[in-house]
Amino acid sequence: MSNGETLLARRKLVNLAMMGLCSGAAGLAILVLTLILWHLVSRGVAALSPDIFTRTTPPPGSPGGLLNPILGSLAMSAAGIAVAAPLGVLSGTYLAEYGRYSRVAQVVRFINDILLSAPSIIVGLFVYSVMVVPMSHFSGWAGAAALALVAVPVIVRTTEDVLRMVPATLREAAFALGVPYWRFIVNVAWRAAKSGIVTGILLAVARISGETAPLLFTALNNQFLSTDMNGPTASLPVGIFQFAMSPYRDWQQLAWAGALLVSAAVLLINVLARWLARQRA
Amino acid sequence: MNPQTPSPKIDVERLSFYYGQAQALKDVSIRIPDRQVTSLIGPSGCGKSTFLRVLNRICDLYPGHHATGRIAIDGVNILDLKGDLTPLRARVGMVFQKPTPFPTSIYDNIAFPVRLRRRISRYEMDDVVEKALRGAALWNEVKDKLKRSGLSLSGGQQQRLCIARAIAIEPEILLLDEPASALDPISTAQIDELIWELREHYCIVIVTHNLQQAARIGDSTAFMYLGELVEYGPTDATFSNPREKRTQDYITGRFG
Repeated sequence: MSNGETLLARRKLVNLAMMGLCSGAAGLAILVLTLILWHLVSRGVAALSPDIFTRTTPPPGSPGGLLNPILGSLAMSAAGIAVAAPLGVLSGTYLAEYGRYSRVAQVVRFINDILLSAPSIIVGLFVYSVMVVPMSHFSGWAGAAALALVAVPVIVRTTEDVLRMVPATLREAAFALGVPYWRFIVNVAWRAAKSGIVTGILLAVARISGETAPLLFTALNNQFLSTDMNGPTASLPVGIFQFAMSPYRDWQQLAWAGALLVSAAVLLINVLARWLARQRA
Repeated sequence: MNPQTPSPKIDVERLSFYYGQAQALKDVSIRIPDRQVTSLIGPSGCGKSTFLRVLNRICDLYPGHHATGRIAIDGVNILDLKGDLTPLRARVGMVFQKPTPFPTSIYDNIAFPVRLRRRISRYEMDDVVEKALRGAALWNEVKDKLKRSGLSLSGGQQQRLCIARAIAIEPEILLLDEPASALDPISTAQIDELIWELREHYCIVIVTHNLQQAARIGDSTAFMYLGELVEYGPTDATFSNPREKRTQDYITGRFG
């Protein structure tokens, strides 16, 4: 066998080994994920019933559902995103446009990246100390604020990234027409990046709808149906936490149902985000 | 150099331009007349696009860029302008190498910049849009689909849309930065014809790599090399009887 052929055979062997390792690793990851999902779906579906959506959380041993945590989660996520979306989009716009070359923007971007990876329990503790302690009670608003704090860095980051993908030639073309900067941002840049910005917001929704830590000592929990966000508010993640840790079988069942609901919601939002991201102007 | 008219539209004196430390234009002086087409030719990196980008100060978008010298448009030095540059840019339109339609409808691509300058009725706006599209020789192709996205048009159509957009706000000067380099020969011919018609109303400065295009449409031609203006004169003279050896070498294809 010539030298060249030996080299080729060796290369083929290494290729085969690498492919085997990569496929094996991917297969393992998918296997674990499938097991989790399978477990969740089979246990969750068994626990699903119309009661889940129509009745409030019961004391152990009584029939009940998850109406109050579902409503609480929806309300706090909606309030959190209502604050985080404008704040995040405007900050991301500052970073990508007005602050493009400024030092302040560099600092803001750095801090935002830290916030992005900060453990969410720290966000919860922060809101506890600046909202819950001064107000001397847990509240849904505090929960919404904590969720907003988790969502803002995600939205800032995605908004900046998609705005930076708007071609410089579009910016120059707008300026060459005598278009003021803010008009360029509103009418051209945001429009060109629309689907990306909305995708970022949706991903932030998906992120916060599964968060437990920021809510633990801000919104706490509430076993009754309450529309008052000034008081403790139930949420699905905290509800799952409470019920799953309990020794009661019916509560554990509810936890499975809740887990399935949260996962399904996150899946739905992600699919929606992907679909939106594919839409072009 | 070459004062063809007593009062040029654009009078550039000893213009130098720097990208940070790198000097891109060296002491360029040129007088550009109104209602004519002035072509800028020269090899890549010679500073011709940079020169255009100083004329409407689009170069100001980037930090570290600065110009020295004097650019008088109708006698006013635009390098002295401070603060809001949008009025200047509305007077000095620009069309880029790559078509840059905004991600809106064909109609709104034109209406959007117009609306920023003038409050006019929907009815009048329809007229403005039609006139601009006719002016850019695009009306017949798009009149039935004005609501469609500007991005749905072909490259040549997009470029004519950009020209329509630029003339809709009625500038005095039109800067064209290789407007046909990304287009096929048919679209190029359409753009050339269009430029020829537009010269009756505007002062047009066009940067081109296409020497035939420069020879076809330019009243005057300027040859730039390494940031310097080497030669400037009537197109016929520049092409058939260049004064400078570098110009002759370039137009005969010896370099560039």
